[in-house]
Amino acid sequence: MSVASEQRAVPDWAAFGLVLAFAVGAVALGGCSQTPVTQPLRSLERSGAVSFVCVGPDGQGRDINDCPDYAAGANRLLALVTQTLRGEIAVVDLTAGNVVDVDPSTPGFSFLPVGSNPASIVSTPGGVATFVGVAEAGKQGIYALPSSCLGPPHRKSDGGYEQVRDLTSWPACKLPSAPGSMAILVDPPKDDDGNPAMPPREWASCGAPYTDGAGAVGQAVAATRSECAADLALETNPPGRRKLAVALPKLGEIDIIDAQQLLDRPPGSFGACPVERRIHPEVDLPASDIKQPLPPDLQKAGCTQPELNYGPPSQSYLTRPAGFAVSGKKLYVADEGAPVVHVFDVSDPCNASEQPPLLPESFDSPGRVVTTSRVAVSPLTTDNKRFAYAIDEMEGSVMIFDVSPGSADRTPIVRPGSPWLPFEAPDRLAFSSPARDITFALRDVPIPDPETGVAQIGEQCNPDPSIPADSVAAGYRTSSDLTRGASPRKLRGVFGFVMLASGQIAVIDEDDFDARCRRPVGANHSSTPDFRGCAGDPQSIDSYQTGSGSNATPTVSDEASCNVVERHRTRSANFVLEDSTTGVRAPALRSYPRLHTPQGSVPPEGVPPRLLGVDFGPSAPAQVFVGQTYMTRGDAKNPLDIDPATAENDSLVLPFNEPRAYAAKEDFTLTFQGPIMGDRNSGVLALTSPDFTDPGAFFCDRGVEDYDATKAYAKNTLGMSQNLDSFALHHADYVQLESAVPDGSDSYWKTAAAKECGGAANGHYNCVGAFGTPDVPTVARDLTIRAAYTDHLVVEPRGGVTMGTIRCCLPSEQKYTIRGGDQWVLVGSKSGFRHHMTTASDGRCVADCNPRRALLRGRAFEIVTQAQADKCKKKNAPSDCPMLGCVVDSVPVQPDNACVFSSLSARFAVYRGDAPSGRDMSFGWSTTGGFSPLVADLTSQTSSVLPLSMVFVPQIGQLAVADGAAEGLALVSLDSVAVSHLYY
Amino acid sequence: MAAFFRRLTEGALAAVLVAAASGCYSPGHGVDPPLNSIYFPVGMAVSPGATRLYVANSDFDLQYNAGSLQAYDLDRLRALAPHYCTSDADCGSSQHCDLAPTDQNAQAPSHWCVDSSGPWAGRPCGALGDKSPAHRVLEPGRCGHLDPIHPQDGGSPVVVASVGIGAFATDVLYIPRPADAQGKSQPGGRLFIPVRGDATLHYAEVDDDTKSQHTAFELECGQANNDGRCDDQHRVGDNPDQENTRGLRLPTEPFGIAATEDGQAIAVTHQTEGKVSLFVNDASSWGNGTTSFGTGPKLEFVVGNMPSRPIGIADVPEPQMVTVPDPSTGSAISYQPGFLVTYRDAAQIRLFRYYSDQYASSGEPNNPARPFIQQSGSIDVSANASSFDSRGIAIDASRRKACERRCDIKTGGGAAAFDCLQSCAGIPLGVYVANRTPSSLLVGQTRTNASATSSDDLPRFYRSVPLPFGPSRVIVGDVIGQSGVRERRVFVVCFDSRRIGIYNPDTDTIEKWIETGRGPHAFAVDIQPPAPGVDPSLDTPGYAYGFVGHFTDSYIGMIDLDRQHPTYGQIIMTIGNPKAPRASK
Repeated sequence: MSVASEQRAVPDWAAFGLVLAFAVGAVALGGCSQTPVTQPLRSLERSGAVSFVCVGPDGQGRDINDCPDYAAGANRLLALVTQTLRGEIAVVDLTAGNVVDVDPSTPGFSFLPVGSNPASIVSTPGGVATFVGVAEAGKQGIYALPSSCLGPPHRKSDGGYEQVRDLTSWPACKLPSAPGSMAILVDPPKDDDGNPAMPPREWASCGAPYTDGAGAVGQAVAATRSECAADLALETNPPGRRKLAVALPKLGEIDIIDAQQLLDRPPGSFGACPVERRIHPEVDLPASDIKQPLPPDLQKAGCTQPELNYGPPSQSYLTRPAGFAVSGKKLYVADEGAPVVHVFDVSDPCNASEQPPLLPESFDSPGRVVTTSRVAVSPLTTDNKRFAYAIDEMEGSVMIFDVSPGSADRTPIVRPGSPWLPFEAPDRLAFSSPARDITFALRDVPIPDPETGVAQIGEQCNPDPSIPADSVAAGYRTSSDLTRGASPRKLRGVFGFVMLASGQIAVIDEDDFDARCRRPVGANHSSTPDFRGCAGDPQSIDSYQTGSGSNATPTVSDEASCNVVERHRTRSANFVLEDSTTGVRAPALRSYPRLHTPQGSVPPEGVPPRLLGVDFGPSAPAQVFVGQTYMTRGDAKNPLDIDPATAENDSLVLPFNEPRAYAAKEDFTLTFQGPIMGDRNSGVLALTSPDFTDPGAFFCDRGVEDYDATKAYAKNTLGMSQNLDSFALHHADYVQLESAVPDGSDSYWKTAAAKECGGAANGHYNCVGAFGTPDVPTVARDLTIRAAYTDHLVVEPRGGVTMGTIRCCLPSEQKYTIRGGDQWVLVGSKSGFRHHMTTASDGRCVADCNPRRALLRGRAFEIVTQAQADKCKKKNAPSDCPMLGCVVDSVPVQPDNACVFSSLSARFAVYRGDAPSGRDMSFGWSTTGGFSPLVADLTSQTSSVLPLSMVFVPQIGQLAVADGAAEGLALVSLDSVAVSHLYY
Repeated sequence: MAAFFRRLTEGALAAVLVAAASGCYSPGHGVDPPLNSIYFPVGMAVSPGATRLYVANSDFDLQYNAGSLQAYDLDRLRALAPHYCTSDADCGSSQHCDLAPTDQNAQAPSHWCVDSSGPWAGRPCGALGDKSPAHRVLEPGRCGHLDPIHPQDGGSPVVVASVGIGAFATDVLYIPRPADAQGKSQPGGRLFIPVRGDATLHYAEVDDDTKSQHTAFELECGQANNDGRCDDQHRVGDNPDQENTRGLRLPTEPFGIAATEDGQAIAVTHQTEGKVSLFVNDASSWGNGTTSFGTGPKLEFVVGNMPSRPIGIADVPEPQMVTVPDPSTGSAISYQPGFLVTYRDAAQIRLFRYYSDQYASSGEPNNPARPFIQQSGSIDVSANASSFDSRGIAIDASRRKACERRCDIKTGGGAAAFDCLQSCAGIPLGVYVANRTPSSLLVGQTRTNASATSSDDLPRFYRSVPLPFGPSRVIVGDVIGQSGVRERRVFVVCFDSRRIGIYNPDTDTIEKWIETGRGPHAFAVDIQPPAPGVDPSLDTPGYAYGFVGHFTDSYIGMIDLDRQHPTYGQIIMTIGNPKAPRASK
């Protein structure tokens, strides 16, 4: 086929073959390793899970609460970390701050060998033993590691050494399938003989006769071994027999195994596990529809949301128990096979009883079967609430359940405030990366009572100006210089932690003891939230400050919003305020907006269109930060002029209702007839119909508004009753074709299809004349959208040419975009074009009445005065008169006018200039001071991070993260919310 | 030393000039490759009837003037491989099961059938002999290497055909020939090989061993009249005048390759140019398969404007519902086949759709069809800390297809069948990507939505499984499970760390690490195909093997993929004599 290739001459192949291997090596085998990979030497490799034990100086286990041993410094806190690739357990001595080499005679770090694929690990609370579940193909089982053998072999009394730690060191047992999660349950002793003098009694195994628990010390087989002894009878906190709960996902069961019986197995043996009870979790779904209770702000009369009511799927499920969470006497079990989170009463592990499960659902996708991978349960909050988090396995989001005493709802909580945060599902925490693990922490930094000297955990900050300033509750207030008291990084209360696959740990507010002191000074007694999100303040408090005038002292942080701290929402990393020390941390304009024309900064003739802020309400004048200056309409010092007749600067205002609605920094462009989407290359004009097809475009999801939708908006929202058709024709979105006319030498012009537009002789010339070039297009390239469907548009030429001419001049695939009609289109650099369109059952693009999407707006219609409108009645009326939809008697426009643009993060009005606005005329501005979530970043040292599991270690007040990539074991301090130690 | 450097400089200069000017492949100059040897294998494919293993060799160090394409006899290879046994009854009459320690088995019973008498009596590796422990470190596997030309058992060669191809092949893809317009089966299929050396797509006619009609050759690419190498007719992408109406030539460095299920559209990534090319291999490109072979595929379109260094590519299996008319409209749902592409330089997966340009041509014979491929969507990968440097990608449609098979069986066609297929279309596809930042297997799936086909075909990744260093390729295939039935697995090849992970999607675990020799790269699964009419999910295959091409040392490893065997996930036979790269000698 290729003649040219025959002429390619390459001299002396063999001579430079070796060289070429290097010369071309840089582009060789993209799938192989062409660049030498430098890997730092690390002792830990592919960590998977971690457990902690406390051991004494004698090497025996101690109660976990005996570590750290601040008094004597004798006990050591050990982290046991699974090494998934090598089938080992790494030992990290947190007290000494090093990784333990259990076989110093071998070069490199040696760890404790267990079977391949260690999947889970748990330790007994008294530190006597640790159990490792391994998923090695064909050799699935549990290995029991006595704490007495977690280090290098000891020297024995006879002068010799204990045996090298290997697989024969550990009692082990075989399971019928790979184990999943494990937990230690406690079978409490029985004290029912009525004789206080007699000690409580335990049973040696489920169903066995009760015996004297204390008398069991030293009696077990493993307790008498000369090496690696393990006696769980020594553990007394909490008292009771230790049981091991092991999930077997493939079999859909949870096995209960007596821990001491496993330890008593001969080391090196691998017989079947001594299972005492097999629990088969049930998928107990309600027979009737499951309904998630909705907050008031998601309820709207006349707008029936199809997702409100939905019944359980009819299919049957095979349960696959996944993550465990033990909370008091309850065991919560996530399920990767069924849409339930199982709840067991394990007050008697031998007779665990299943209770009605939690019901994971999806508010946004009610038909989806939601399975869960991990679950965590919070401590009780100060208002006696308890919450469970569960990770949506397939979505990576986190659902929150109310599992408080007496709570009846078993579905994910639908949080209030969703209209201000429409991009996060109302019933789950969503992140930029999938959640991998979750946990809770209760912590406090209590202030001692000056009178009693007692520091009480759980005291809440009180901003009431009337309480004594020297009271404990007042002592938690933010200091005027923001250096003490309530602050973003001071974690007092109950907090959730969500570990993301990307290596961040997000902090979730659940019960911030200081929440009441994090707010603006101003009070709002009304039950209707103001633009700061404040509502329902006590009548007794006019403002949250003491003193007055120049002596006024805030009793709160004086942040911009009352929603800085919200239950079940991500925590802010910053004070939401403007301060000379903290900088711009509240939503602010970097500068006033500026008008640009397609020709550059040359202003149009006459009065240009104006972009101006609007009052928030009758008693809330327009106000906004511009840089660090707070501009307010009517303010003598820093006035914000919003009257188009007098304003020197264009402007807009930024509502503070929800700080999380703002990206940290963002650039906005408000463009007349601006594109609502980026360019696409796969549009096709049908030959025999006015259909413009692009099945992958998902036009409704992109917010396309066609003729009918525009007409309905004019009638229902703008209140128009006349010129509706004309208005819709001008304001409906349109397609702009951006492909080039085929080159004059293109073989297309020789085809019969090209004859209609001039063929080989004149086709190219004719078509370029009619349609221009992509850089200098003519209006002939514009197609009004008469009807929009998710995969195609019904169009008609906007510029006077026929569809046949368009097809002839612009054949085959089309590069195109879609622009708003005669209106201004707002696009954010991060938020994009916001809209409230959705797909109807027939595929048509229609407006969504869901109140959650009410503030999703990206289109602004120009406002004209009556005087301007009257010009349209004259003979030489401007050509854009049919466009007029917002006519007001006077300016500035009233706050409640339908033509005021009011969205999540902007509020303004666009006033028409003397001349019609032109395509691509635009206002641009930037915002800063947006929301920054508080996260602990595991990637500060390296991006090679793949966190797999996380636990809160209350004894040291830190989170421990097992990393499957380079970081091994990371400890995250909750004082600094940052990585404090890395062990690798 | 000075002479060496001068030679080095001249050689490098020549290499760069040649590469920059017109590619590297020049038949007729230099040393002819030993076509029967394995030399930097980069691609493998198993014929649909599992009688042939096709291997593309890249001639990576340019010791020769060409690469090669080989066909191996899989029946012979399976016969030569050790056979697991639990008792003598599992073995032939002249063999017994090696269960007890003996001198012949070096006190290590193999649980393989061994000869009961003769020169290899009691020896697990028979004529292959045992490898030394030192060799096993670099080349895992108990037995010595099988000579593919002169097998040690004295039987016929396992290499049954070979042809020369351009240097720097990257992969090989088998496409069965579709039935003709009347639904009539035609013989033959095609192999497609992207070749970086001359920036072409090679193709060869081969047999389809599942059809009743067979071709009379093993590999046919015009080599008979071209010194054993594929002729120009079978190297496409370099003739803009003949192949397309757009004047297109294939960009440099073609790398990944995938084809739509019907084999009509073939997409190729270009690893240094940020482009994806489209070849059309439609019905007109095939001859009758016996006396004529058609025009072959044609380069039709090249799409750019994407992140640089696209690498992996996989076709998105079509939901069956798009192939039958919607009873409510009488016509099939508009659907464009798609491909997912991974990038080294972007934490993204992009979706490209193939357009046959039917709108421009259907019903209007005067309108020329200009097939094209375009970016249709993209999704950011956020399942890792950075998620850049994605390599191989694989898509698993087994759950959806199982559902669709049930539709055929249960509904008997008509509206009920369409409804059934529509519900099946909502079953997500499993998507797997080898990612290197950090080394991990990204696990995701397509999402159900309100589109006409229930999904936009873009995956969302919800899991990241840690891997050792250097993951490069991902392959979806089946193994024999512990109960003897076919089970789905994902194989992820880690080039740098000499391992292949067998990921079980059901348990979300790497259930086994296969320890390989140096540079594992190409991989293919050879499992007994189900008999006609047998539901694959109920099938009990008689054998399951994996074949791994060791790029660095140029040999092939045969892996036991039967979980009932203790040798599951181990190399049990090696084919070809390992040869270290000359630079390392």
